[in-house]
Amino acid sequence: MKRLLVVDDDKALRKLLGDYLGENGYEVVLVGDGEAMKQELARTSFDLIILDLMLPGEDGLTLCRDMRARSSVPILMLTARGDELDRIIGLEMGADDYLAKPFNPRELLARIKNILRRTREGEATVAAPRQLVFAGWTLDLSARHLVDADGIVSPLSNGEFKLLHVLAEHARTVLSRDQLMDVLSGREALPYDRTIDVMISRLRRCLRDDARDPLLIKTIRNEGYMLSAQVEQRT
Amino acid sequence: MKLLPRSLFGQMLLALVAGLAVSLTLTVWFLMHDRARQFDHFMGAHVAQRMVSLVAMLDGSTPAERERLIRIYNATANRHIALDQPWAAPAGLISQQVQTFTTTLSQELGPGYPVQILSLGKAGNAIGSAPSGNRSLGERYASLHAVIQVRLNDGTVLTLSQSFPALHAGETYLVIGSLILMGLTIALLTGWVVRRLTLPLRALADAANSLVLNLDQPPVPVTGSAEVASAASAFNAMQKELKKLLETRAQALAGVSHDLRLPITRLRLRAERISDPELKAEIAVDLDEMDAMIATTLDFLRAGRSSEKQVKLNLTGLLELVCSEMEEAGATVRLSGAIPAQILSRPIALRRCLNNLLDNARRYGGGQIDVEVQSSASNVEIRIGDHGPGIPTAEAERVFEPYVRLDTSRSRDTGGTGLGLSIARAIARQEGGDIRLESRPGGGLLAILSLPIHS
Repeated sequence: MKRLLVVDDDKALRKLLGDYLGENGYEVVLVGDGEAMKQELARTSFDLIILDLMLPGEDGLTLCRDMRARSSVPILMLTARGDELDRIIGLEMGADDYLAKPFNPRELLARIKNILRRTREGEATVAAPRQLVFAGWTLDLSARHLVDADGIVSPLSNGEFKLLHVLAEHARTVLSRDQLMDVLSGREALPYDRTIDVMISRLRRCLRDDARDPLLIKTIRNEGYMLSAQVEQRT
Repeated sequence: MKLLPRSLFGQMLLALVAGLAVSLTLTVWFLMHDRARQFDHFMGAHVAQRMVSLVAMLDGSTPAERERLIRIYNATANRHIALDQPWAAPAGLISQQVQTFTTTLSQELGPGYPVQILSLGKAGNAIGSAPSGNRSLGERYASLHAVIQVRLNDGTVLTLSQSFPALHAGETYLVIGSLILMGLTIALLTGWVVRRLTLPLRALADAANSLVLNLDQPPVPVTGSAEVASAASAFNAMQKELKKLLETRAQALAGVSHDLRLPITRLRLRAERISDPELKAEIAVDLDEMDAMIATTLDFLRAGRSSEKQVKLNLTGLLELVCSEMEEAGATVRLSGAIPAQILSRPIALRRCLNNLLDNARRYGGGQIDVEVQSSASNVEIRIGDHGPGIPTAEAERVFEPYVRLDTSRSRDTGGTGLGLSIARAIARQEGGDIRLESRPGGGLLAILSLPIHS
């Protein structure tokens, strides 16, 4: 059974989270601040920490950074609603993912599952890359946009970002449509009406890749798509 | 009255320059008049002294000597002496100048020599009784011609006709020239000073105008005269107070919204335990609605004060992205026009701004959205038109105010929060642009987002 450590200063929420996650098959330990968290971590080990950003005493960001320096235990940060900068800062401080309050409990479960799966696959690293660089393009993983060689920013939709991200993470590997579809719909419960092909063609346009003879995102007939460039990870 | 300038600069300049011109003209007129009198006096003295020596010389000479002397004297072109002219009858009207001249001559010659002036005037146009007042300043100093008669002791009438060279003609133009130069110099200096005085006022007016658009604008420089400087610092203090007031209110609203998030989170977790699926779903919808209200309120409070950095942004890419997302939501979008290759902007904020505008067009505009881009060298206009009922022109500004919804009964169905346009405008203004609403000629609403290009 996976062990989760929940760090939140609201007692009622803590208890509700403990009950909810417990009902969904996790072993949960609840603490109210950074001090108690450190004591728990010294005593035993956890598979995932759910850490609130706003805590009495040391705040979540400081705790997150300190922990990153010492261990690779995955961290899911709970932040203020919707502030893009909170997200970016949280990810830069080394959190594996973030979720804004008030969150949907089911989405919390989905995120936990996702992080644990990635950890099992050995993808969650201590220093997660913040930029993927290929063929003069930079995919900014914090801001979720694409930057060309001249520094001009092209925004990407959620789906496009995820698609390009997974293609770049598995550069020079053919990914099937099913695999790509799984990436798109796996993490967030948003409807994706557009087909993979439509997104690929928009990505090609963003990357100024000729759709008839693409150099970057290649179509492998009957198999799927592949990013053919060399990808460099930057932190 | 329309001829009078309305600006302070114009009025001050006009008053100063007009006053200066009048006083200078008067001064010069007095000066010239005085000089003319002096000239008359010196001329009189000069001619009189010459007459005295001539009379003394001729009176004591024999007729043969007289003839020789007259020949020598008449050899010079501009003077002529005759002894055979009769004593002329006195002219009826004698001018002031002639009288002054005659008196001077009589005093110099002494009582034994009767003297009269037959003519005094401009060379070649000598009329004895010509009133001197009619002559212009220039003419007064042109060469003069005088005809004078003196009766010698032996009864002979000496008639002297002489021209005096122009002594001062050139100087007149010099005086007028220097006058114009002085006037110009002073006008320029005055203009410069007045401009310096009024510029801070103009800056203050501009600052007051743009305060509506941006409360965070830099303070007005406290310069210029004491009065203007104190107005500027009062204005700066007012801006600070306004900002503080708004910030306090925003903080209160943000605090409430922020604090509501915890109970909503808890309620969501509690709702998971409800066994009745229908009730559970209904509560979830209510919670989502509350969540959305809080989210947009916080968005609104944050809009326009984003700490996101401006980057070079691919505007075509952004527009295509926002349009395609709208199409996913069920609208038909037509994107046209020449889009500038890049602009300097905040991608996340601008995306939200465009998204809000297009979303309004989708919700209220009948599903067909026309996005047209017009750009100049410094500015780009993104015109988002819909095919809905539009809004009355009188309401075109009011809908930008937070929580204002024109059709409250419909808002529930359409799901607006009344903050979309407020957020969009706050973002546009932080980017240095603005949004305005117009009615479309063929019906429908046109939202025009204008942005500076910067690069």
